[in-house]
Amino acid sequence: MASRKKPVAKTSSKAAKKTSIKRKKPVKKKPVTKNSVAELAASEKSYRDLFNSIEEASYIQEQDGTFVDVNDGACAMYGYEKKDFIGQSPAFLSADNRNDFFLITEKMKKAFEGIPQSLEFWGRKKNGASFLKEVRLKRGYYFGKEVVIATARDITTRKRIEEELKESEQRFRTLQQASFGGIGLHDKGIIIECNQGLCDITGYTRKELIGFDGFNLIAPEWRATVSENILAGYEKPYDVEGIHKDGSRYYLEVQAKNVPYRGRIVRVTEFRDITARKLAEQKIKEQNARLTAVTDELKRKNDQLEEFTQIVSHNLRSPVGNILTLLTFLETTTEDTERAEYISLLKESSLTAQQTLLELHEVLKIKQNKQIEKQYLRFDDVFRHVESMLTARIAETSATVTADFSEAPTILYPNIYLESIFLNLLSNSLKYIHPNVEPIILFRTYHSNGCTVLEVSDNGVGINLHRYGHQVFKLHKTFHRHPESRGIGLFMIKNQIETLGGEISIASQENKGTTIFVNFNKHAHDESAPAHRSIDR
Amino acid sequence: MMNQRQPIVALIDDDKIFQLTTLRMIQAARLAEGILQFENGEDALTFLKDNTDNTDTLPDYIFLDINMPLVDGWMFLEEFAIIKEALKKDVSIFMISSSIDPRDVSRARHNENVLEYISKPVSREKLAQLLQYQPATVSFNLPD
Repeated sequence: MASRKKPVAKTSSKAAKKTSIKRKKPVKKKPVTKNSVAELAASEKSYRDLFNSIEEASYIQEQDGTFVDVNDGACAMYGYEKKDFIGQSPAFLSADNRNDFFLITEKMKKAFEGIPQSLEFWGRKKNGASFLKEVRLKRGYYFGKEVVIATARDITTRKRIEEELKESEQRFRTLQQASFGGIGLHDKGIIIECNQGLCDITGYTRKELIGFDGFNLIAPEWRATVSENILAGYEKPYDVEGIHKDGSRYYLEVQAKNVPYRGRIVRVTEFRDITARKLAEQKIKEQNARLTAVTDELKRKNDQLEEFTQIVSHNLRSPVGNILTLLTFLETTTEDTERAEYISLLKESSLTAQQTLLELHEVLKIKQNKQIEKQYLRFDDVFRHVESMLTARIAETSATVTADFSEAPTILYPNIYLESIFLNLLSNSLKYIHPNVEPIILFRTYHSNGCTVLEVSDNGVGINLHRYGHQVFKLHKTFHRHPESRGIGLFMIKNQIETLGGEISIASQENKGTTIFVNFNKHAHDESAPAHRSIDR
Repeated sequence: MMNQRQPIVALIDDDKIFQLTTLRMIQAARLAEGILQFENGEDALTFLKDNTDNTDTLPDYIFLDINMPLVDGWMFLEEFAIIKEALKKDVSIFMISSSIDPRDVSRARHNENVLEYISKPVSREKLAQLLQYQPATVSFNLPD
């Protein structure tokens, strides 16, 4: 038994040496049997093992903080040995001036009274390094004595990560808020996060936007495009239309990028309100369109002017040239009969020149008379009037002349021009009837691209446009061996129509018939060309 | 030159007075053996096509107007270029028109079948000069 007792006593004394003196006292006071000493020693060992097995640093302290016992965790945390702690106050573990001991004393007191406490403590290791630990204080019993049990965890790393995270988030938020655009993070359209810019652009609050379907911020007709771009992971900017919370639309440039976020891929999208830019673009486009219209108008005017020069050049020069030649003939002849012939021819040439001058004057009058008075005219009235003027000719040719103005019954136009147009077109159709076909002539009006169009079609001899197309509306151009062909009518009405911003064109086939199209306000509306071939370029 | 046969001239012009005065000038100066008159290009083309082999009736010179009803001067030239090879005679064409439009002048000059562009009126002297043109000298006077 002695051999059994010895190691126990040895252990006990060894333990007693290491633990505090205070612990020894109750043991001494208590009457001990050999058995109870052994039990006590066993119990103390169990306690020690348990105490050291706790990973966290643990301290047994008196109410004033004096260390009674510490475990291996505490020793490891500071790098001191257990004996260095015993009897010391916590001040020796403190990093300089970083702990509020007044508060710590208060908390110790409260813990001792039975109210658990927690605090943060800046410790200093034996090697001088400071660290932050989180300490929990609880009342406990240590071998029958009331103590404060303190457990501590080094939270320096956690704290640093927390700080860094906070700082990084702060930086991110600052950047995000400073951005002029609206930035949103979304997962398949559902907004996860956004900045103030997005709120400003869309009119929603941040609270409203988070969890909101971002597609609602895009105009319906653009959603398919946006959806396609999301699926394709498209990363370049593109323009769509956005819808504000109040329902108004605005021009929007969107640019997005896929980014990893919490183990999945989400999309960072930036919204830029480009209304100002778009409006400026539109303004430029409008100005451009106006300039193009003016250019076209000038080009038309120039073409008309060139044509006019041509007419003057040719139609006046030929009778005048003849007069000069005839005068030399007259000078050199002595025969009276010849002289009489030349004088008669001189008269003829003079009359031709005068006639041409009158016609050109008429055209000039038309060109200058842009502001000619217009009135609301019923096509039917004008048609009836012209028809009555040509009654004899219609009866002669037994032509069937019909009219249908139901689609476009009226027009604002100068009466004399419209009459002139109807008269020329009807008499042309009556003039060039096919000898073997019963003549049918149809007048009708309709609207096309916002313009009023008159269509006059006949089943007459027609004209080979491939050969004569370039001359149809020129002065003194005739394409038929017809005694009444003078080549004035179409030229005159072309000038009337063009002066008022219209256009005349022709479609025809030899022996099949001719259709004349008069678009009264083609250039006034700036519409696209009609589907048929336009002759006068 | 004196012993040579006088040429045949074709006038293609719708201007009756030009036809008359030109005819009289050519006759008076005895510049031609025969004068053919057509009031438009179509009639002239029909004549040429009907007489491709007939060197006695085909013209040596053509005075061609530009502005005419039906087939005008330009259209005549287009057709002429096609039938030219079939003609048994070298036919020289002068374009004679009232037009002084530079576009007309330039267009005539660039047509390989037009020897010269002359604007009306045409004097007797000019007529005589034109009708004494020899193909060899002609090519010399041609502008590019």
